[in-house]
Amino acid sequence: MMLSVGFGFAFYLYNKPHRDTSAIKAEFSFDARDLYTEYRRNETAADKKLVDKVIEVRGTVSDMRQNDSTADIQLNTGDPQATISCSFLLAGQKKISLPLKGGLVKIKGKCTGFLEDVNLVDCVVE
Amino acid sequence: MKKSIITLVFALSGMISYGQLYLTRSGFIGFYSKTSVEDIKAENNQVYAVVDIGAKNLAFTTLVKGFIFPKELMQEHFNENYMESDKYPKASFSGTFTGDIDLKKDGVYPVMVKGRLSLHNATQDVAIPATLEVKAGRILGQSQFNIKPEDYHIDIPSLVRDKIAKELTVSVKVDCSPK
Repeated sequence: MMLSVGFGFAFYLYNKPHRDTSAIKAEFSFDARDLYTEYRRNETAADKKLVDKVIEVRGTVSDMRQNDSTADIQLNTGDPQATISCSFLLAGQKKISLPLKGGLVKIKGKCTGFLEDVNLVDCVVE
Repeated sequence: MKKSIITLVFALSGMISYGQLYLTRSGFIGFYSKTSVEDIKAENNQVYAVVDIGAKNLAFTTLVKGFIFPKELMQEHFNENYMESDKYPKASFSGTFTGDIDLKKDGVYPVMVKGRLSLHNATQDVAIPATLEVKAGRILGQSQFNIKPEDYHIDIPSLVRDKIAKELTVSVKVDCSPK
């Protein structure tokens, strides 16, 4: 009896889909420019503080693309060469309204690091 | 290598500009494995790609943590056990292509890409057929090829080896705009 409960739980864990980011509380909240500045100042320290953490970013949209399953939103950082790059999975989300270019938006997502842009995945619009 | 390959390419392009540089920061790379036991799918939509049509160079780079798996546990294993992403956060490719592209003529051009693919602190020379499409002032790149995890020192424990195909299929799709 205990064994089957154990297997059931293991099966659940193994097949668990991604946690819904909207249900997770953000550990840090940033203005897009400040997030970029933090990374520019010290990438290693910023990685240590932010990678794998769910964070919130406020900013204006510089670019927006979407197809059937994914969307990508870039936020202005003040530096023309760099953005906050936010990747969205559309399948898992309830009706999602994506912001337009130039619009102000607050996005929550998991930070994966820095590569010309600060990258966030599993994003949701707040 | 502290600086990414893209930074190097940007720096180079700053010095010698042929005006034929195309780039994207939301390119797609997916890898797939099918066995009788398990199907694996991982997709990354935050790939940086730069294509220099004049010099016939290209470079790709991405964060390993940007590969999203439908199952969270699999993604954790991938990052913690197989790719050791905290130690080696980036995957990259840098190389050249052969084949002629006519930027004035929309169309699909088959090319042969040769270069060095680096992941998990291991580098391999690869030769991959691909297509570059000229479309409305942009360059679309597409390719599909196989890789073996063992070639990149990725150790898969024997207990789970049957769950992962001997070779993984990698699919690349980028839509690059002029710089």
